Amino acid sequence: MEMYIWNTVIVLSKIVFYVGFACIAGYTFFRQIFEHNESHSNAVIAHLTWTRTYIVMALIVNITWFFASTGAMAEEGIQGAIDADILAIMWDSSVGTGALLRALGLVTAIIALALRFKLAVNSYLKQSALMLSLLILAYSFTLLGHISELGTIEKGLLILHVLVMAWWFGALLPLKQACHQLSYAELHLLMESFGKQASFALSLLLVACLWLVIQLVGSLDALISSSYGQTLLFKLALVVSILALAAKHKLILVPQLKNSQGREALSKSISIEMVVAFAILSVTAGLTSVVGPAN
Amino acid sequence: MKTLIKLLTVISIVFSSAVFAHVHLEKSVPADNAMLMKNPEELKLAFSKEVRVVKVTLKNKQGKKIKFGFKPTKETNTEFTWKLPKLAPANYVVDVTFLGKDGHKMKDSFGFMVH
Repeated sequence: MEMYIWNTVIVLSKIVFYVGFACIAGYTFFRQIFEHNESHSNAVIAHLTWTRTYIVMALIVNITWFFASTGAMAEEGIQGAIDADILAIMWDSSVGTGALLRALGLVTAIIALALRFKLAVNSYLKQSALMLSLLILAYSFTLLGHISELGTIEKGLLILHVLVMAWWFGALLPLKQACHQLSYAELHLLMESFGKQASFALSLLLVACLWLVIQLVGSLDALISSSYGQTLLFKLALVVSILALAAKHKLILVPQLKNSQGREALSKSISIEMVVAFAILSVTAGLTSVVGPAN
Repeated sequence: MKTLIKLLTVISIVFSSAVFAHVHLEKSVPADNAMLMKNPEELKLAFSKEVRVVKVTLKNKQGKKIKFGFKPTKETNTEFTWKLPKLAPANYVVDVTFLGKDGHKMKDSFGFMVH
């Protein structure tokens, strides 16, 4: 029973962190959708507000995650989560380093968001700080979980994998907002260019993903018979369905924008995509916490 | 589709040697299921990779914990040894919780008998 509670807290806090990571990427790469036009200042403020709120939440949850991991390790109830000896061990381990780096990355993002960008220099500074934050957060993934025991290539691929994920999932909310804010011409242009970038980024994501699956699972047999493999297959099924949605956007819904129609349909479809993205992140949180390749 | 299956099969064979395995308890003294004619002097644990040992409990059949001076430490190692007190003839169970380099919690358990 105790482990169920700790595992639930660990998985939930990971989900919140993943979404926070995607929010930062969304803000870093897609805030200019609204910033270049004065008439969208409400959208700019809304985007900033939700991103900031969410990152602060991710920071609090990151601390919760560290204590929950300690509690799960000690298995001594709430007392175990604040046991000085176990805390010292956890802090010294990759869990502590991961929690520290994630806190550092999130704080960097919070500071970057607080920067006012009246001067052009500030704008560069802000963008660099946000990129730095994303890199720190992406690097933290290589310390935790099964990849940490693999080689440098795999770690590099994992960084690429999580960055592309964050870029893509982070884009969804700004793009959905754009469906309601931009003119048809602007929206079509935006979606076209996003579609092009996404095709390239997703090819990278898939190659990285395939390679990591091979490294982690090792054989088709293990993929089908182990609980880790099965969960991974479930995640892959979700990924296939989100790719199908993305293809539907690119091939059917976006071309319709040219004829000044279909913004509602696109917005609705992006909402569905966000639900699937959330499901993927949830499965991943479980996959990296509860089920292991060797289990 | 056939080519894809072929490709996947080849890839899976090529990489099957790289099957990922978590760190595990490789050897213990006393060994699992050991029947000891005399009192064991120490408890030794050897792991497949470096770990941090978080918890070790030694219990007799009635579930009574026997203290033997284990204290969790930050130290990482592949081998750990503790002196054991004199054990009365009985069945004993050792539960080990340890932390691998990847930050995952691992557990193992083994039993021995003192005659």
